Amino acid sequence: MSGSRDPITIALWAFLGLVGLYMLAPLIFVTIDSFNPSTYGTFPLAGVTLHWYQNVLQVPEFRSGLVNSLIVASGATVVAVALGTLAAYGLARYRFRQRELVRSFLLLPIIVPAIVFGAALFLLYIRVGLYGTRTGLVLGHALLGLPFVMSITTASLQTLGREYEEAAMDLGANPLVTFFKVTIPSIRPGLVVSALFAFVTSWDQVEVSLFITRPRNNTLPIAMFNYEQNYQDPTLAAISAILIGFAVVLVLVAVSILKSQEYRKLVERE
Amino acid sequence: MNARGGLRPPRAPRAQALVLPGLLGPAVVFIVGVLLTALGILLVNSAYHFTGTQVQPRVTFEAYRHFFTDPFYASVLWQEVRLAVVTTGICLLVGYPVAYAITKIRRPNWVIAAYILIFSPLLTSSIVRAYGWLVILARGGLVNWALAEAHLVGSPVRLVFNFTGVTIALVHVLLPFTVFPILSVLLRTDPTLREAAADLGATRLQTFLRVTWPLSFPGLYAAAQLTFVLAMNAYVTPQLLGGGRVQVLPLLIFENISDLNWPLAAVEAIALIALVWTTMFVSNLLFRRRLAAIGDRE
Repeated sequence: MSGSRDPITIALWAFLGLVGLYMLAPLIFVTIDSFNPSTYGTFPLAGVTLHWYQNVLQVPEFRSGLVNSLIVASGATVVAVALGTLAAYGLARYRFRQRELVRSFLLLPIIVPAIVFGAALFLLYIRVGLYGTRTGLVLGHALLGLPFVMSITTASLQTLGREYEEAAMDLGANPLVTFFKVTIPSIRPGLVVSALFAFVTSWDQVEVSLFITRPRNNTLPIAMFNYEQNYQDPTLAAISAILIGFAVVLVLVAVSILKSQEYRKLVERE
Repeated sequence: MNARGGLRPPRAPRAQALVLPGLLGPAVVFIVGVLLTALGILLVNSAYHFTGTQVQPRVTFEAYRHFFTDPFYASVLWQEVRLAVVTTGICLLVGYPVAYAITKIRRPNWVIAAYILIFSPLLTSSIVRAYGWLVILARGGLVNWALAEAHLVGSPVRLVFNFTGVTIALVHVLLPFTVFPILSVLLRTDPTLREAAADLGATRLQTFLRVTWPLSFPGLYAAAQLTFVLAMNAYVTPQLLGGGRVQVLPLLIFENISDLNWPLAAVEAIALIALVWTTMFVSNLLFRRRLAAIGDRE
């Protein structure tokens, strides 16, 4: 213990603290700027106002963007989890010659740069009538979530092993019943994490959405992106502060789960 | 007997032939039907003719000629690579000590705090973070106000809408992706190896240089590759903080799609993919050779 108090370690921790400040700085100052009475967001603040928060409610693009983003992210999550879990089951439970090839192939959506994927999707969508539609967004975002779902679920299936499934089948359950009554419940934590990944991927998506949304049919990030390029007043800081608030709540919930007694017991048992 | 000799196949081959396509099929068809079809259309468009107002389905390859002969695109490629190299370099210089410092924390609460500091920005969108840097770095922003108050500068320093601003914000966006692979390799390293080195009389510096550093090399390599690729693909940060002065391929692709010059956008997209995939392929090759060299020495 005494060895960890030497000057080098203290210098390292000081550096870590500084980098931590750098990481938090934009989030803190966006939140401060959301109360800034100056339209150009100049420092120091000449007072405090809630005007920009009222303004957030008055920008119709933000409201429709929020609704659209929630629907698209939910839809994309359902599609990505359904297809990704099926594929993961095939990859984790069957041995076949082209398995590594198939696995690499399923990673393709995240190996192709998102901006290239967006441009290509635009050219496809204007031909098949999906440009500017919610279905188009759901399909594009689901593709981006698919590799995450596939990797995370394959990993949890491999950790689980197939003993429970074999036991269920030995006791007379057919493969379908085994899949839904044994496999799915056993990998629930992995499924939740992969669903979260798929949801957040869609929720924060900019590069692909940029190409396939119409002005009337924007997602929230695209509405914010366009607002940033046209106005640059602290309204954007206000909506950012609201989103940061959600993130803070999420972190607090995660930390309290990590520190809760039940979680400790769960971890210790394993 | 081979390593797999003990494992019995999970299902009879006949059942596998029926079930496997049903499991993998939907995902594969989805990727082929949407992603590969879209990329195919992009590839075809790259060969077409652009009249200045619209695309004609006539194979001329003129967009390729334009891209490879106009010196403007050479400067864009240079800017692209320079941004990725500088960002990756800074991320590694900052990210390695950060990951190492986290492994030295003993109290669980402080470990959680460090994780939140480094990784929580990932929970906010890249637009929010770019806007945050605008607030801090702009002419009337925080840094310039502080510098003026301290009488360090006479007129505002230009920190945004140039290479500096994009780099500051891009390092911020990508640092978690640099720290994570390094941290996970450092945490997986067997602590008894360091203890053994210390017991045999090695100083802390020697232990770091001869044990920790070489063992963390795979993490460092993965971090460098991931950061570099993400930096080359970055769109939001150069767009919002570059102010049109930092031209990189992703910005040109969007611009040319909007201008209806799809052949040129397609050629730029192909160039970006080629650049990213070549980097990954070459660095994989170098990494394998380096690992083999380490293996030979032992």
